[in-house]
Amino acid sequence: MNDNMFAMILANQQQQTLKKLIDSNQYTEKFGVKLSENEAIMLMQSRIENLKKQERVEFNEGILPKLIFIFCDSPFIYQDNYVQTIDALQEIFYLYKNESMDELSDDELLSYMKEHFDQECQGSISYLEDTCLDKFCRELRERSRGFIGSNLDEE
Amino acid sequence: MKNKYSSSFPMEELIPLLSDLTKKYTSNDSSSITYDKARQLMTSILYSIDQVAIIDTHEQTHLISLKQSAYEAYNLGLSLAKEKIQTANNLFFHISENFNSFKNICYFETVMKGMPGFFIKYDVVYDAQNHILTLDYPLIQPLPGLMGIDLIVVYLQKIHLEQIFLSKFSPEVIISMFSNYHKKHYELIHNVCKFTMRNAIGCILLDRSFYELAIQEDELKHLNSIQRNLTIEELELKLKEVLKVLIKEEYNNNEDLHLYLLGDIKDFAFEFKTGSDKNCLEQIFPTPKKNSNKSKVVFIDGELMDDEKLRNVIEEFRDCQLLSDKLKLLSEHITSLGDLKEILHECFYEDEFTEVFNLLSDIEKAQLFREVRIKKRNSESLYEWEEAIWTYMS
Repeated sequence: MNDNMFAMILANQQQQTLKKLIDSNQYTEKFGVKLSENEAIMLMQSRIENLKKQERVEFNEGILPKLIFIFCDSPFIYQDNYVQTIDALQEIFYLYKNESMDELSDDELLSYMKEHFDQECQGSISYLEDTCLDKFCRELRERSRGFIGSNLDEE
Repeated sequence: MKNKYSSSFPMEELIPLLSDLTKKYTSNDSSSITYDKARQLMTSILYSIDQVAIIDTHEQTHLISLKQSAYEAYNLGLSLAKEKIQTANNLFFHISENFNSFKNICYFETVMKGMPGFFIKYDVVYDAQNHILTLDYPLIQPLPGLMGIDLIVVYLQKIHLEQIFLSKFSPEVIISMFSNYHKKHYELIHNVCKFTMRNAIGCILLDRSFYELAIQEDELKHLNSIQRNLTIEELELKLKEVLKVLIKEEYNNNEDLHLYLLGDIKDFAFEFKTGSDKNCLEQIFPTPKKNSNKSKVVFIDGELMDDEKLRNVIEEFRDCQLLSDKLKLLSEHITSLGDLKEILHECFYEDEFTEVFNLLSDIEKAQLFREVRIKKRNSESLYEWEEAIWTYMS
């Protein structure tokens, strides 16, 4: 996947994603959090960097609107830490999509993150990342089918 | 040619295709995929689009002039690739009906074991460029630049041509020719058809029926004399002529087969010429091996006594006071090594063993020694007489 193509995919989605993020304020305002246009653009740029860093390609509006929708009602998220937390969660999300070897769907990973963020982690991003998700994905990889050679033998 | 067609579409048209295919691939469960997966899916899309280009070039249709969109080209290409899978499947079924690998393991496993696996595992939508198989059995002409179902179709076509060519020969004759070539010919990774064709041409050059294949050692001199005054180019022309006649007369002028086999003639001429110059033509035309004069010694033991009689003989031995009497009894009653071993164990002691061994023939001693050696190798405990023969023979 060359950079030119990667940039083109992202450029196609910019306006669409920005609109979606601003629109999400209508819902999140009920929980006392919202994004300014600059903050939304900052989150989108962060998304691009995270995708590049994790070597992933994303289509359509991406994971951000869904992430906001799921986490906005968390008791550990408030306006002062809203953007930083969403940004950090977004970074973790892409990292653990890779770490789970894409065995988890977006919804499965997000619901695991939300559940543990609100309960066990008590809003701690580093605990969620370094302890909960790390352990979860390690177990997931251990349960996975292994490399193809051994599977062929079993078949 | 292939890349040109798919690259004629702008990236703006290809990205929606990739997006749609990604949605299908992830069942819309994941908004993102890895670079590697995206690369695989995009290559699959381009591969399908290029299927249309092959039709354009070969069948002179006017699809390009219709200025179809990337989406249309992809769908058309995908359906063409699916048709090719069906074609390959039919061809494989046809080949497998009468397939003969002539005991070559690689040939059998590549075609008869590998191909069914390909039809099960091949993924024309998400990984169309990946033909999965390594296709270890080498064809006369390699197939560079081909991949996916295109490679498999062409590979099977060549295998079919080989089977047509080889079907004219008796399998026993071909196998015999290869056993002259190499003791473990069935393990070699080489082209069966190539060697058969070379020997068939060799037979024709010797004015013999090409079916025979086997070339005798003294005929190599004649083959040597045929090429002596020819340059490699002239020899190549001569071999081409012979092949042409062979295909015309025996294979109903099968042009595809002719073209396929022609792929080896250049190498054949070079190896023929070099082999003659270096006096190693038997590497190209394997000659029957002379029978080895090394005879195999087989020991056949005499008839064993029944238990009652053996017990009586043992009693007689025990009554003997002198070694000379024992030896006399031995030569009168004992006719097998099986009985001798019992007697040695029951009736002889220490220095007496040597005298008994002196009475035995070399082959009998060798047989006893062999049995003791096996026991030693298996770390079994030895009787006194066995230790004695070990020392005696060592």
